[in-house]
Amino acid sequence: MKKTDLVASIAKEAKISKASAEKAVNAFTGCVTEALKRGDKLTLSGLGTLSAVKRKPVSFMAKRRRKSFLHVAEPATANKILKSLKIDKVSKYAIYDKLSR
Amino acid sequence: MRLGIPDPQSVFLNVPFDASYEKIFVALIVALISLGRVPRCVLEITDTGQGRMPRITDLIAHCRVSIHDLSRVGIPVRFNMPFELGIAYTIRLVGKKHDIIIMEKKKFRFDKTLSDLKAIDPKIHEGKPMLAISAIYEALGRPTGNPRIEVAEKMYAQLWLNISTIRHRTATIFNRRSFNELIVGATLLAKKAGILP
Repeated sequence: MKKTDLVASIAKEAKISKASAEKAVNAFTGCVTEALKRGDKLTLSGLGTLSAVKRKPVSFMAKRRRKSFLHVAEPATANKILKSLKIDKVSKYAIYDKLSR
Repeated sequence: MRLGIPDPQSVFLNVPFDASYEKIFVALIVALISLGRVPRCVLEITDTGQGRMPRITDLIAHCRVSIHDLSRVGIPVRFNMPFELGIAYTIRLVGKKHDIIIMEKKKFRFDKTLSDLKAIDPKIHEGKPMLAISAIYEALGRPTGNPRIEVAEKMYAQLWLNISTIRHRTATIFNRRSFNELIVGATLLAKKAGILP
């Protein structure tokens, strides 16, 4: 869901125009940002708590180690592996008949 | 020669294509697929009369990692594996992201056979498929979230049971069709085991 979708759904739910809904959303995000900048916490029961935290800066070497680490690749999906074969259908293989039962 | 951006999940297999290596070849494919890696191999390349070298180089450069088994040191002498290791090393030297994993059958032999690469520790499989699987898990497994190694061992056993289907009445599994069948089989088993989305 993007901002425009949110605006549209708020307008529909609250039975107001899209322009008014967009103003309300902008006001909401502005207020939340200001509050978080001040160091406040925003608690919306049923939704969650928003707060800003300072993250420890990651050193250049740590970034580099993380990049050069051999194990970074996310696992491929089964479809991607089968696509790498560059064939039209995997079902034409005898092993497919044996193992897909 | 095109040296584009390597695919992070593709792994090039540079291994001897002889009957005594079949079990380890199957084990390597199963281990890679169980970790969500895509095995690539020179068997995919058909000789169209233009020479295989540029296409082999392209294939190695396309892969983020390459595995080189240098355990065939006897007679008949095989130069393909060290030659392709040289290509992979050059790709790394020209600044491309490429990791190299070396496999050997015996401990300490690599220091003598290729002393120029003494800094790299080879993974020892002792000619046993299960050790080859654990070597791949050790080298390419993620820090957390890997499937259990027993799952890969079970997948290997199931796939090896069906090796006669994969062989297609040919003497060897080292051909394009069998390589494709191995990947299809291992992927189906991994999907069944619930380790591949």
